[in-house]
Amino acid sequence: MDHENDTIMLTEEELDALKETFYAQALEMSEELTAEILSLEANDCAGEPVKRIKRYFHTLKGDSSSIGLKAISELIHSAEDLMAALEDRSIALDGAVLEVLLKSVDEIEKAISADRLGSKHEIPTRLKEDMEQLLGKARGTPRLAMTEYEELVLSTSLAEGMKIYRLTLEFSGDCVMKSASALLLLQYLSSEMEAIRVSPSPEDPAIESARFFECIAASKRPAHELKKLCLIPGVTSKAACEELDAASIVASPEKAGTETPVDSVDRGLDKAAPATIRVLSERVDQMMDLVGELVMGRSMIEELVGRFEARYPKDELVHGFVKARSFISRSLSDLQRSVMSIRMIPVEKVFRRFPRMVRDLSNSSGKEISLLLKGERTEIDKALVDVIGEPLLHIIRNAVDHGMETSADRKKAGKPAEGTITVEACHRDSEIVIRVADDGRGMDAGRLKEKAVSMGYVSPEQAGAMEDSEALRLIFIPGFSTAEKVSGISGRGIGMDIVKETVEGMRGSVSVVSSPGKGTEFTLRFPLTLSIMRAVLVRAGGTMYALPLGSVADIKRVRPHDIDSLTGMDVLNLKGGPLPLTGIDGHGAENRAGLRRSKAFVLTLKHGGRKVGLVVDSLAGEEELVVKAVDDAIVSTPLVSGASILGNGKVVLILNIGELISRTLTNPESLGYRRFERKPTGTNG
Amino acid sequence: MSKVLQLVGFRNGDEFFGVPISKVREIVRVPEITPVPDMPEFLKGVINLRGRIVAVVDMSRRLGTAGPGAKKANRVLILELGGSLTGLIVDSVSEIVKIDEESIEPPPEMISSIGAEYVTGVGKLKDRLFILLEIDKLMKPEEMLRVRAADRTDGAEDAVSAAG
Repeated sequence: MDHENDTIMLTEEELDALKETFYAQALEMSEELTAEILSLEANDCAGEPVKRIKRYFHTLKGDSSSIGLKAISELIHSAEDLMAALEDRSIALDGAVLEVLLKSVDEIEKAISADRLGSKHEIPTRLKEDMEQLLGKARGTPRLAMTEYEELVLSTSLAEGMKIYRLTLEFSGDCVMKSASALLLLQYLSSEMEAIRVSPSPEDPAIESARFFECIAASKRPAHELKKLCLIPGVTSKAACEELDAASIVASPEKAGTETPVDSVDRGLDKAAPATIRVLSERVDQMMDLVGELVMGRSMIEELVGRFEARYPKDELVHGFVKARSFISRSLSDLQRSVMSIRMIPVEKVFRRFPRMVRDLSNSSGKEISLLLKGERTEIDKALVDVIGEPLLHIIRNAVDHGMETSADRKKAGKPAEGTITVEACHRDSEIVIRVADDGRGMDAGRLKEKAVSMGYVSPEQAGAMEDSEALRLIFIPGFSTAEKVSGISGRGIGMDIVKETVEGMRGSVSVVSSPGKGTEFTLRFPLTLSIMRAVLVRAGGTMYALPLGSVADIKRVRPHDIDSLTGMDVLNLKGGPLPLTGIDGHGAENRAGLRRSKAFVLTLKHGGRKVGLVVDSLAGEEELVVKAVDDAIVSTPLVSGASILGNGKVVLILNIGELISRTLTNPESLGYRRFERKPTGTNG
Repeated sequence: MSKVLQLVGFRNGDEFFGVPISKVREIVRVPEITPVPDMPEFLKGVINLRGRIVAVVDMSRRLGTAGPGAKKANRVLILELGGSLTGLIVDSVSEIVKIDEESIEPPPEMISSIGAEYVTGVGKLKDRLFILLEIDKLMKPEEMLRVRAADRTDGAEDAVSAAG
């Protein structure tokens, strides 16, 4: 193949790296493309978006052919033609065109993914045929590319009995300041003709290097007179004037090609965009890991300086050590922040998958739904971008499928026929908050309770005592949401339990509020950064644990007589009401003995609007932890959200507050939660 | 021409085992282990292996053959399985064993305390028999979870034998 000869200079590795960059770039671009194509539908305009789409297609075409994906570059070429046809209005933007464009992007994605995995993807002939059919239609009515305004001028000129000409003027060799000359010429001619389009435009710096410029104009004069008028010594040396057939104005062949205009758009955009470099995300992760190691090193130094100071309080070196320590601390915080900011990506990258999905879903379900995206520029950690798409998709899908009523039902209920789903992201305090709200029928707490009873998750008595807000949380029980008779839309998806698990896996929380008839709102909260966190260290049963500082609302010292028992559960009586108490594993029992024995500490933990008190033996300080993944799938308890290594080299587990609270507040025996044998704690045989 | 297998030989309880040397990343003394709540008995916890956090499994508990318990000779085999690291605590590591592939025989029905599904074969070196472990299977998370489920149902007996 040709391209292999071209790239003979590259080593295998370089080629691989090049390919990897291409894949990443191409997949990113295809996402952009989908978003842009959908915006076409929304605005029905053929201006800027069309140019951007053409630019993306053009780049993709070039890249894919350079890497040997011939089928793809051919498909893109056709797609480009289709875009050109749209732009010059030889074809109207309708459902069929959109469908073909979107499908093409899908196929591009599939082919790229396949190539990445070393396999081949056949582009369905059906798509090619559809594309050809549309292009054939477009070719049947070839027309000059015109904007709406130009068309307006054209049609009014024709109505006034003018003729349409194409003037091709050659600059004379001694013409200086071509831009000013062209402007003056046009001004001079303005009494004789109406210039509809001039290219290159006199304002375009490119005109200075041009030998010709072209003008589409309407005039009452015959061609030869107009031609004569255009010849001005010192400005133009030659002129051609050709009358165009008003009914089917044909673009000249060299102008019809998409290459030139796209390239010029390309240049323009590059100038406007801030200078960026594309870096493999692994390198950023690597950098983050190194920062993590440094943070660990700092903890080690801090510990050593503390010990040194305690041992030699009067030593003159102490002051120097302390100063050096705070210097390192400061620079490290700055470094951490800057590396972190590299990892931050606008949430838009996740959001832009949704319009397409909502469009498809509302088409297939026959419901009228509009999607409102807010705060797309909100920046979130890259690691979050990779995982929140799926849970959000699921929530939106559920909203369309179960939440939204049909238009008829909505009208009956006195609501607008079109339902709205709002997806919004924002930063609040040190959290990222993502909200998915619909104005559908809402969830019925009563029905949820009934279902929970019939499925044996709760007893009728428990259901009766359950607050509505607690009943809504039933949907997060494994198997609960997926057990419903499921339609084709959300049935195959993941259950709400997986949504909760995924969110909590990223140290986030999910809560839901709903009012019947008005709608449902899910709120997902995540820590701003995932890799470093401030934590409170506690000791319980001889083991140290870390709790995210953000989830600790209060710390109290308690004595045995402070504890009350309420329906079999230990509680701490506070002014605001009883606070349920728990041990590390979510079962109160573990710490009860210790609690009876002597004094202990109770940390009030809050998460997703709920609170429990965690009983621990002692506090061990507050520390900045580098969150690490446990290098094994065997350790897969939802109780632990991660681990970290302390300054002294010991491993500390980070507790998943959401799970801890769920376990405490729901009866594990009846709810069918994951149950495990309670281990005798603190004993090691 | 037959192939020569290189195995890390170790002793657990009264039996000798071997795992292919290619699966063993390193062998370390038992470091401080941080216990993980909610986990079955055989999963002792997690350790810090030069900055990586690695789960460690107690061989005896995993097989349900409780040994004499913590001793100085105990070692952790750091196994590299499917790209991630897992530690396996064994009574003692004896040697690197070279053995002719041909001298390995298929596992007999009931050869030891462990299920036949975890045994690749039985090898003989000098007068000693040792069991070639199907280590990937033994340490597979799904298998572990299966054991975990079993652990739950007969946890009582387990707790008795676990007094180490």
